[in-house]
Formats: sequence, C-alpha cells, structure tokens
Amino acid sequence: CEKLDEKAYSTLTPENYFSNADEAKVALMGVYNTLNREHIWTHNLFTMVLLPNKYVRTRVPVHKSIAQFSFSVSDDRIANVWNNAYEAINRANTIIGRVPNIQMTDSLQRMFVAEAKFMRALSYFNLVRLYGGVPLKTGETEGLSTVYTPRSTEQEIYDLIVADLQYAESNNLPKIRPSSERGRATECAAKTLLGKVYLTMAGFPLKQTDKWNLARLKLKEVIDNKATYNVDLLPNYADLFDVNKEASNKEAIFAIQFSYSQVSGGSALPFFAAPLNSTFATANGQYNYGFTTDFRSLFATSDKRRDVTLISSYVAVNGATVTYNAPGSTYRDPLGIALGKYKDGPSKAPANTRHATDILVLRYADVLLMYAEAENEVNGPDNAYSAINEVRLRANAGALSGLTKDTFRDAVHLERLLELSGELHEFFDIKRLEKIEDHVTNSYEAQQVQVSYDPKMYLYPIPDREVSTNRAIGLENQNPGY
Amino acid sequence: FAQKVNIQVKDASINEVFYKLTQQTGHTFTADAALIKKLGRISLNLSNKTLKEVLERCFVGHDVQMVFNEKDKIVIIKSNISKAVAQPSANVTGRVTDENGEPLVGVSVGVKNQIAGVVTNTEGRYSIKVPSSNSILIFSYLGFATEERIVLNNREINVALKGKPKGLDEIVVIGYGTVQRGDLTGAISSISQKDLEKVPAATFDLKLQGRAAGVMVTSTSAEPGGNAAIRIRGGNSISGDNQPLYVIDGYPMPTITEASGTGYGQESNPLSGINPDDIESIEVLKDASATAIYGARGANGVVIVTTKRGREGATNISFDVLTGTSRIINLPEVGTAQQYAEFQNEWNQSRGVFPYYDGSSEYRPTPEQAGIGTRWLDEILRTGVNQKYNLSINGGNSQTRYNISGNYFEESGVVKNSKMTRGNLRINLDNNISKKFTLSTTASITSSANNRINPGAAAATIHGDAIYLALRANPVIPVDATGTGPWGGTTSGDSDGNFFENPLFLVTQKKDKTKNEDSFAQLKGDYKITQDLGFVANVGSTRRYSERDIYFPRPTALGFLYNSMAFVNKYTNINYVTEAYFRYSKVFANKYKLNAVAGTSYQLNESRAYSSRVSGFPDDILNTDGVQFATTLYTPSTSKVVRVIKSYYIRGNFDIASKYLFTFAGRADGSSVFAKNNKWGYFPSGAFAWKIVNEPFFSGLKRTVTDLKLRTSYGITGSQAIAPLGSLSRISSTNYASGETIISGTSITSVGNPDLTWEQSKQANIGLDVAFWRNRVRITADAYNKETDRLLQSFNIPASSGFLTTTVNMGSVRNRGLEFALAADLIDNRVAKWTSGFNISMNRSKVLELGGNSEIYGLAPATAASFIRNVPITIVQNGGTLPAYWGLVAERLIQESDFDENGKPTFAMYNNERRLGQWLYKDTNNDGIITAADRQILGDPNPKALFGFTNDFSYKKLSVSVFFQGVLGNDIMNLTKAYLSTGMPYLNKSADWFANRWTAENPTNDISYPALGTEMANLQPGNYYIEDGSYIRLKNVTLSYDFKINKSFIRNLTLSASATNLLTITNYSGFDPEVGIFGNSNLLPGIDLGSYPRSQTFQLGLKCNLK
Repeated sequence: CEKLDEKAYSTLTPENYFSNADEAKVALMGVYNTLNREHIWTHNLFTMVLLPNKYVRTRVPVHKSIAQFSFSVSDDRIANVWNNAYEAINRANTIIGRVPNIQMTDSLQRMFVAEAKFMRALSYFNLVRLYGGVPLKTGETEGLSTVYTPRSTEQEIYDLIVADLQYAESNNLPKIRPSSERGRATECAAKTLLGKVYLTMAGFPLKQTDKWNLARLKLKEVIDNKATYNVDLLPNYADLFDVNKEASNKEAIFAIQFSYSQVSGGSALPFFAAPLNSTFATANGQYNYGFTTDFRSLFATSDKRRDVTLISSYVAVNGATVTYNAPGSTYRDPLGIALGKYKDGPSKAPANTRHATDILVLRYADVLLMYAEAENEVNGPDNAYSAINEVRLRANAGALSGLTKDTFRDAVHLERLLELSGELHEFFDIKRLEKIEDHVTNSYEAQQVQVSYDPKMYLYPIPDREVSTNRAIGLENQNPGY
Repeated sequence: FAQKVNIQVKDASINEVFYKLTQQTGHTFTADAALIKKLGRISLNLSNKTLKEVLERCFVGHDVQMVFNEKDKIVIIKSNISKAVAQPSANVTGRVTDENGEPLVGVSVGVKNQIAGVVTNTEGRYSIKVPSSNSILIFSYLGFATEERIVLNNREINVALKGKPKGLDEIVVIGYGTVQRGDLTGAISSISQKDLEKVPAATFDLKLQGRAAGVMVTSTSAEPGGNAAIRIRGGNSISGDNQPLYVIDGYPMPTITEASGTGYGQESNPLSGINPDDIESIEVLKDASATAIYGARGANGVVIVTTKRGREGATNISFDVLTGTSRIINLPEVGTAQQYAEFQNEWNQSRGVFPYYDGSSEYRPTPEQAGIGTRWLDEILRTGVNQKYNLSINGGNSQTRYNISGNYFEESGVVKNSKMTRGNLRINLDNNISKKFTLSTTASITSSANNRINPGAAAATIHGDAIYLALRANPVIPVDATGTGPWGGTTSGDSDGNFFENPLFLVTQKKDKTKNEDSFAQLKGDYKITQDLGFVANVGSTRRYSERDIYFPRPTALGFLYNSMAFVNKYTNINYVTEAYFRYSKVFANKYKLNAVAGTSYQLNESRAYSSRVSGFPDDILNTDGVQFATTLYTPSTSKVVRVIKSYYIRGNFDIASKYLFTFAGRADGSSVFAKNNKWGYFPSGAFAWKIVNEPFFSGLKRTVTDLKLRTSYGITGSQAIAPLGSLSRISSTNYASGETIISGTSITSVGNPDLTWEQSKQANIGLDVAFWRNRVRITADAYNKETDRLLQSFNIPASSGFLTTTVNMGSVRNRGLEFALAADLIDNRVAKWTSGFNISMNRSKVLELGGNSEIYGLAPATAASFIRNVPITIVQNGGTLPAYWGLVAERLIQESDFDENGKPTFAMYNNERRLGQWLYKDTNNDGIITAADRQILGDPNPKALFGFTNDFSYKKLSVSVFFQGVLGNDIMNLTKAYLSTGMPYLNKSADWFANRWTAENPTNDISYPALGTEMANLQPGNYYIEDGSYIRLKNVTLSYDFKINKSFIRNLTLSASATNLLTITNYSGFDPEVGIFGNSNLLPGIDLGSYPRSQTFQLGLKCNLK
C-alpha cells in the first residue's frame, strides 16, 4: 500500500518540521504574523477600542453599531479580533510546547519561549479586557479532543498573563534589539506590559488595589533603566507618528511592524483614518473616525499634540483647503474631525491595505503616565509630578503642580486622552476607570438611537460563533445581557 | 443470378440460408410461408456455386418456381401448386392474431407501394383487394413486428403477428458491461440523445433536468456556460462533494475544476469538455446494486455517458445548424432617480444632515430634476444570440467502424459581454483486428472560452458583480460616469461619499476570460479468449489545461483603487486510468445464465494550479497580456496535488429460467486521500429481481400485463470526498516584517485527523417494472432508503482552539424517497405518433444525528457581502433537513402602539432597535431581548417533489415536442431582496418597496416593507427573505418538419423551431426561482444574490443527412 501514502507537495506538515533552531525561529515569526494582519489591529480591534466613546463619531454606517454599543453577537469585527487573538495564542503555545524539545542553546531556547509568552500574554490581555473571562488555552491544539475549552475567570486569565510576563522579563529577552529585529519583544516591553497589566488589575472590574504598588514598581524599573533599554521621549511629538522616522523612534517600546510589501501585512489604518480626498493615504481616505469639537477644546491652544491628533484643516487632492466646520463645507459636524496620527503618503503604498505606518502598542510616554497614576494612588501626587510633567512639557502644555490626590488622578486621566488618543487605549481606559455610563449617556452616536447605559457594555459579547461551536460554552455562559 | 457463392450451414432454417445469401449477393429472398413450413432444417457445404444451384439444393424435393427480379434484386420462390397467374383485383381475406391465436383488432393491412389499406375487425378479420399475385401485403400493428406476405395464388392469408416487446430489449450500459433493460436488477434511468438534443445548453448535465426520476439538476447560474448542481436521490454529504461520478465511455472522470476565480464569482461548468451532441445515451445509476461496482465513488450515484460510435453500413454524413436568440424573462422594477433622490434626502434629514440632492450642482439635482435617471439594468442587458454547427460522419464495414464529429457552439448571454464558445473534435474508431480481438479508439479535443461577467460575485466580494450593482446602483448618475470623474471613486454617489461603481463599465470593460483545453484519448482492447470468456483492457488519459485571466481596468472600482489589477490563474489536470477485467458469460442447461466481471483499476491524477495578481498598471492597454508593466506584485501561489486510487472489483449476474435474477457486485478501493489509518475501503452489494411475468401462474394475465418485475437491492457505497491533504496538519507561510524587511514566518494553519475515513452510504431499494398492452405503457417505480454515516465534516471548531475548522467523520443523514416514471405510446401508427413520458420523484432528507454536535451552520464566506459575512444562514441539526434556513423571525413592524405612555418599548428589542417601522422580532425564548438564541428554522431549501413531463407528437412529416419540468415545495432565501426592499441607505430599491414602505402616513405591518434606515448591523438573514421557490416550467417546445427528401445527395432534411423557458409559473419575486449563488455548496443551497438573469431562448435549426 506504500503507493497510497499521501505526499504533500505544496505545503509543509508538522511531521517534517520543528527540527532545528532556524525552523523554531521561523515559527516564532508566525506568532508575530498575527499582529500585522491588515484588518485586525488596524481596523477591527481599532474600531472596537476607539469608537465606544463620547468624544468619537463615525461617518461609516457599519461602524455606528460599535459607536452606539448596539452591535450584534455575530458582528464579524468582534469575531475577527477573538479569532486572531486565539490564533496567536495557539501559535505561541506551539512554540512554548515544542521549542524545549528542539536541539539548540539554552539561551536561545529561553528567549524563544519568552517571546512566545510575551505574545500569549498580550493576546490574553486584549481578550480579557474585551470579553472577560475567556477560555484559557495553554497547550497546542492537536486534535478534536483539545478544542473545547470552557471559560475561565478573569482572575485565572490575569494569573496566566502575569506568570507569562514574569517569565518573559527574566528569561533572556534582549534589552535592545538590533534594527533587523525591530518589532520583536524586549525585556523592556515585557516589563512595560506587566506594569500595564498590574495597573489594569487595580482598576475595574478586579479592583485589586494591591496591584497599584506592583504597577508602580514595575514601571519604575522601566523608567530607571531607560538608558539600558535605550528608550525615552522623542523631543518632537509629531515625530512619533511620522512613517519615515519609525526606525529612530526611541519612544516605541513595542510597535506592530507594517510594511509596504505585498509579502507581509500592511496597515489599512491610514486608509481608514484619513479624511476624504486627502493626500494622507492611497486612493483617498475612508474617514472612519471623527473626534468631536468638544474633544478638540480639551487641548490648550499651545498644545502641540492637538494638530497632530486632529486634522482640523488639510489641503485636499484638488488643492482646495478643507477646514472642519467651515461655512459650506461637507467636512463638518456631526461627522467629527479626522484622526491625524496615521498619515501616509499616497505614493508609496501599493494598495490601501498596504501602508507601512506602524501601530505603537507600548511607548515611553504611556509608561510615564501609568507610573504617575500608580504613584499617585500609592503615595499621593508629590513624587508623581515629574513623570506627568515630562510628558506635558514635551507637548508645550505647561507643568502641573499643587493638586490633591483626587485632582491629580483626574489630571492623569485627562492627560492620557490628550497624549494617547487614537492609540488603542480608549475603551480599555474608560472600562478600567469605570466610566462607560458617562460615555454612553453623552455619546452623540449612541443617542442617535437612544441607547441607554447598560452594565453589559463593560464587555463585548463572546462571538456568536464561539458560543455555537464550543461545547464547553453554552448560551448561558454568554456575557450577561447578550 | 449466375453469381458464384459459398455457403456452409448446419441444421439451419431457410431464413438463415437466405440471410447468408443476402450478405453475399445483395439479393433479398421471399418464399411462400407454407413452403417454408414444409422445408425443415437444412445443412449445406457448397462453394463456388451459382445462386440458382444453391437454391435448388435447398428446395430439392419440392416443386418450386423461382422468379428472379434483377431490377429490384429480389428472388421470389413459390410452390408450383398453381401455375395460374393471379387475377388482377383479386380479393384476399384472412385473420390476424397474436402468437397465442387471439384476434388482433385494428391491425392495418395494406398493399406494398399502395396508399389504400384496411384494418382488421373485432374478430381480427380483414378483406382487401390486391392488384396482382405478385403483390405484397403488409400487416402492421403497434407493439408488434411488421409482417409481409406475397399474395401468389392464396385467397386467404392468416397471419400471427409477433409481439415486439418495446423497451425491454434495449441495451443499458452499466459499469463494465451492458445488460438488456428487461434483465436489470438495479435502479437505472436512461436518457437518449433524442431527449438531450432538445434543450439548448452547453453541457449535458443541464440537459438531464427533468429527464430522469430521482435526478435533481439545478442550474446554479444562468450565464453562458454556467454551472449545475446535480443530486441523485438527495445529498448525502454535509461538507463533502455530492456530485455524482461521471464515467465517459468506460473512463471514470476525475474531479476537474478550472483555473481559480480568486473569489471573483461563481465557477463555470467543468463538464464543458464534452460536446452533448456526441452523446448516444446517458445512464444514471441510482441504487447501491448499480453503483457498488464504483465503490468509494458510488455513493452519489454514477452518470454513465456513452458517445456515438460508427455502425456497419453506408457512410452517413449529417450536418446541423442551430441558431437563436434569447431574452430576459422577468425584470425587477427598481426606483427611478427621482425616487432615489427623494429617499436619500429623507434619509439625510432623518439623521440631521442636509438634503444632498438640492439642485446645488449638476451632480446634485433636485429629485424632480433627476427624473427617471439611468436604468442600469437595461444598460447592461441585451438580446442574447446563440448558434451551433455540428458535422458528423459515420459508417464502416465489418472490419472498421468510425464516427467522426466536429462541433462549434457559441452563446452570447443576455448580459452584455458574457459569451461562451466551444469547438470540439471527436473520433471514435472500432477495429476488428481479428475475429477475436476488437480494438476501440476514442479521441477528442475541445477548446472552450468563456467571457464571464461574474454573477454572484457579491456572495464573495464587494467588487465585480455587475448584476448586483445594476440592481442597486444610484440612478441619478449618468450612464457614462467613470470611476475617475466627478462621480467616481469615493467622492460621490451620495452625501456620504460611498463608493460608486459603474455597472456598465464593469460589464463592458472588465475582462474575465476562462479558457479550457480538454483532450481525451482512450484505447480499449477486447479479446475473446473462448466463446464464453473475454478479457478487456483499456488505457486512457484526460488532460485539461485551463486559464482564467481577470483584469479590472481603471473605470472599475477595483481598477480605480489599485491603478488597475490583473489576475492570471492557471490550472492543469492530468489523469491516467488503466483498467483490466475479465468478462464471462455462459448459459447452462438452457436455463441458467451467468454473467460475470472481475477486474482491477489504477487511476493517477495530478492537478497543478498557479495564481498570481498584479496591480499598478501605467495604462490599460496590455492588461493580462503584459503583467510585467505592473508596479505592484502580489505573492503568487502554486499548488500540486496527486491522488492515486487502486481498485479491485467483481460482479456476477445469475439468471435462473428468466425468472429469478441475482446480482452481486463489490469493489475494494485504496485511495491516497484516505488518512493513513484507513487506506482501504470495501463496498459490497446484492440485488434480486423476480420476473413475475414469466411465472406460469401469470400466463393468464400476460396479454394485458406484458411485463412485471420486482427488484430489490441493498449495498454499501462510499464517497471519498476527503479533500487532498485533508487528513494532514499543514504548515503555511505566515511572514512578519521588521521595518521594510520581511522576515519569514510559518505556522500550523490546519489541524489534521489521521483517522479520517470515507463516507459510507447504505442503500436499500425496492422497485417494480410493469408494462401493459404490449409494453405500450411502461411504468417504473422505486422506493429507496439511503443512510449515509461517518459524514465528512469540515467541522466548525471553536476559534479559541486557534483554528476555525477541522475535518472529521461524524453523524449520519438519511435520504428516502419515491420515484415514479411512466412512458406511454399513446398513438403509434404509420401516420401519427404520440409518446408521452412523465416522471416524478420525492426525496426527503433528514439529519439522523450529527455525532454529538448540536448543530452545524452554513456560514457565508468571510469575504461575502457584509451583512451575511460569517453569519449562519442555514442550520443542520438533529432531526432536521439538510440543511434548513435559519434566522430571526420578524413578526411585524414596530408601531407607535408598541410603546407605553412613558415612551418605553413594550417589545423585546434586537440591538436596541426601537425606531418605528423596523422589524419587531419574535422573542422565541421569552427572555425579553432578541439575541442569536431567538433564531428559528425559516424554511427548507429541499424540494418536496421534482417532475418532468414530455410529449412527443408526430403527424406525417411534422413533429412537435413539449417538455414541462418543475420543482415543488422548496424555499429560496432571496438575499437580493435584502438590498432591494429594506431601508438600507445608499442603494437603490425596488419600486415596490418605495411604494409600500413603512412611513408615518403608511404604518404598514408587512415585514417586506420596513421603514428607511435599516442599518446593516440589524440586517440579518430572516424570514422576510424566505420565499416559495416552487415552479412549473414549460422548458421546451420544439416543432420540426422532416422533408424526407430522398434525392440526389440528400437523404433527409429537417427544419425545426424551438423555444426554451417559454413559460414559468412561480410566485418567486426574483429573476427566476432556479438559483444557487453558492454553486454546489451543500450548506448554502437555493440562495439568490445577484444571480444572472435567466432567459427565454428561441431557436431555428436545420438538420441535413447526406448520402
């Protein structure tokens, strides 16, 4: 019967793979590959994180359901983000499970596992914040017997995230990556993410106040070692989002790499974000995200961040200057001012989903603001000013002083809006700070359909597909209210 | 007369001697019946004798007179009792009976070469005047062999006519052999060329529609060269292939597809390599007894195609031309520009935006200024034209027989630029190398090209579906608006700058051309080892080369976005088959007949595919022929798949006294696609038939019931529907980037299953063949029960596993049904004929169990139009049909009265929807909120019954054929209606919706007419799109006139006129109820979304036979 053996001509199979360090490294890159899919972080996740927000509007009908907290359980964006995260987790699990059995140096082995654990933690961190206690999978899927996993508690998910990041920060991740490895996890990225995880655990819904101090200490490690890690604030805020200056962006601690190449993923975000008829993306922008004029007025006039974050005025393809809310302009309320952080020229990208603009997942200004927030919670504002003021002064927004613990807290939260808007923080922050009700009640989009606040809005639904296919999850296990 | 002949016969009748003499001399012989009776058996061994000498030897001892008529080459031999020449105008009387001596009434009795004739009376008696004693009387009667008698001096001629049992002696092709229909033990339908030629379709599968009970043919696209889904006795498989195995001239065809469409629309028909005009007959094997000889490929039924072969005799040249036109049957009416503009303004006002159509520029006219606007559907449609030329030459002698045919077919569809052409050449050659050895050669080449306009692309992607776009495109925009002008790209079309794609440009400027080159060659040797034992071996190969070039130039939306985009895809499939088998046939003791076949087969199939895409062209001159000018290259992909099947098969038919027939058949198949733990499968079957009609106790009824046979069978067959590599985990390339540097990455992207095995169908069949009145009325009825288990499922697994699907064997499905076919020769005499055929079949599919899985959903692909993307459209669940439509049930529309005095809704809301005029859903689980848990079964896409009804009339030289076909009791999910009759903004709507939609002034509760502003998020597959898909169609009417000119070089000339799809009776609101936008998908049948409109075709034909 030998002749009947099936030979795979055009694909590789696990039987003839995973035999040496090179193959392990290539497989590790397959884990990172889940980051630069053209529609996940740059579109589906981006929409889910940015749009449920009182400062944000959208021109695009399909996005209104997210902005209005009225999406369906079978919404493909919600499913895509879920699917993508678990794809990353399974690939990471493959590395974590198989690499110890592959012949290579111990230091290389530990680094590969540490990177896979960093990626697994990042994926679970998004999942637990968006969907709550999700299925906890720590081993590679190898057959039908291993595909049905029940939901775990949020605590169990966070326990794994913390354990993974603790392994990652102490197991041979490089302190600095050479430029050829830009985009891969570093010790600094592991510590920063761990600090962010602690900060999140201190907030809603776990509210584990002991985590404030853990967050403070972990973030302080990053700040104290910024020279070792070669990270710091860039002097000029606008440079952070300049597609041509990504290679020299010291402030980026972990950034998803996008390229113009057709071989690997490109970003669709410049295309989705750019205003209509602008020159900021290939083939025109889709103008998916708009900020309210209220949001614009939160910035001081001198604040350099305002005109980087918001495109209040631009020169269109036809040479005309388009200014928001100018008389007679179609670029006007209630559509919102377009997001300006993801500009790319139309000439370089070969297609609207092939922009090279990276997404900053972790950056040093975020470290400073998180540190300031944790320090204030633990010790009050006294030693927290330097961190927040470092960020403000760079933006020409003036130094803060003389605040109480409470007013300082409000100041940090405002500062996060001014500094980090449009960088995948919004939903995570308003959830952590328990402010969803305010954002529903005061959302223009939500009020268009008279949506009123419901506690279910703290979570997205488990995707319909998961509920209907996972035998360990029934409709009764769906997030309450969906 | 003085011709020299050789003759050797032993114990032969005089008729046998005559036959041999005819062969040598070309003369025909007629002898007095009474004389022949007296002659007895003759033995001769003569060589080089004259004809006269031989005849004298035969009639030695009898006083005979021989008349040699050299002109007509006829020899008349009569008893010399009376030498007197018959009187002119003598009267001859007599009695006509059947073989049993029973009188036959109404037998027509005539004199040869005279028009006048008489018929027998109630006692079977006749009386006729004959002009001379050399006159010949002809006795003809429907269902009996015609007899001739020379009058001579007889004044009384009594005749016993022999019954010609109609149909029962017809040869039926079964796998690895043939059988007389009367001896069949299995359930097999035969379709002749006569039926096939009536329906104008490019491929034969479409011509099978309505022709055979139990065979459901759905044309999934009405475009030229469109594909068909065929289900024989229902679909067995949920995720596997349900298409039957095609065996062409004994050659099992591999599963052939064509170059990839890269997601841009439906596939065209893979059977385009076979010219339907070359087909002699088609047999459809339905029950397990018939299909088990094809083992692991038999479960879905087997379609055996036999092509025309040459016959001994004079050369026959036949030429026919067919040409015609086609037009759309039914066009949905969509809104005018004025209605559209009013609607847009109303929509804008409802959300606080200024009315866009305000007359502020030529692009933004007021609704009144907009007027009727562009009727996009009219712009893309035209009158279709088709033509066909067919030339065939056949003939042969006792050594060599040949059939050579050439064919050209061309069909221009009703949508502009859609066109299929095909040229075909075939040579079938049979050689008697020796008395024992026959060699048959078959060779054909076919070249076809199809310009496609991609119906159904909306099911796959937003771009490229002109029909879908034409139905909904903004009618304010002028017909010549380009994607780059003021109306283009994202800048206009409506106030929100939504995309505008010009449907006309998509049709006229986009290129999508599929070319298929098919070749087939087979050599078959048949060696007679002994009288009873033979050995057959054949080797054959098919090759397909297919390419599909797609080019989106700048005027299309995709071309606009990417500076034009080109796809170049190629596919080759090379298949080799070697078969060798012994056949054995012997009669024992004059009573027991054994027919047996045993053999082995080896099949190797290699398919390779290549696909590539480029964009960024400097101009649109070179398109797919100059991809090197493109600036953006996408990663091309190649694939190679090899399948091997090794098989052993055996069959025995045992016939006891023509009363009891037994058949045992089985096959062992080893297949490379089977998983490593299950490489071999075994498929046995058995059948028993009882010819009740031949039992002695039945003889009394035999005059009325001329055939009665009971058939039963049971067997196991398989479906090797496992996708190549389906059982293996696979690793794919998944790269990452560092800055602009690409870093190679790989991942396990599918999870394997080493225990994967074939699907197994166990089928029981009971059938009855009955015929009445000399087989003038023939009825076949079958009942079957088919249970398929170990279903291959591309099983949806939770995404939390890291994968979306894996392939498993799980669950079982049952199909049971009834089939009934009736054929009747209602009138059959020399001037008029009327034959009528009716078949009906009823299949019920039921999912017995899913293997512990609660349900399987039919999800539209992730690339489909947004509101159905990844949404369950159908469900397969225990006890349900395969599949059932699935979704929310809207009971009515939300009205003002549905709110309490505080303005709070009193109904369960879906997505917080509380706007008036939107759907109010049924809260089936009464939890106060509408969620996925409230979805219900909405309908059944499976028909309750299928039927076909044919009537062929002829009167003298005129014949008329009328063919009805119908499908009853199925539902259709009309997703086109979702776009045409819901309040979704930006798209044009049906005129019907504009007129009847919910407004404050018209607070309707009809769920077909919701208010404006239905958001995509709220648009779900629901009961509002389910429609009854039943239809009865006058599929074809053909009128032909046979000139019967037998002059100079012309033997025959026939003129015909036919109409196809002349009348369709249906309640379905779309173009046509015969739809299937997801093609052959088992989980998504009967879905309409931008289907190519079906047309009516009118054709004129001329057929000419030359001498």
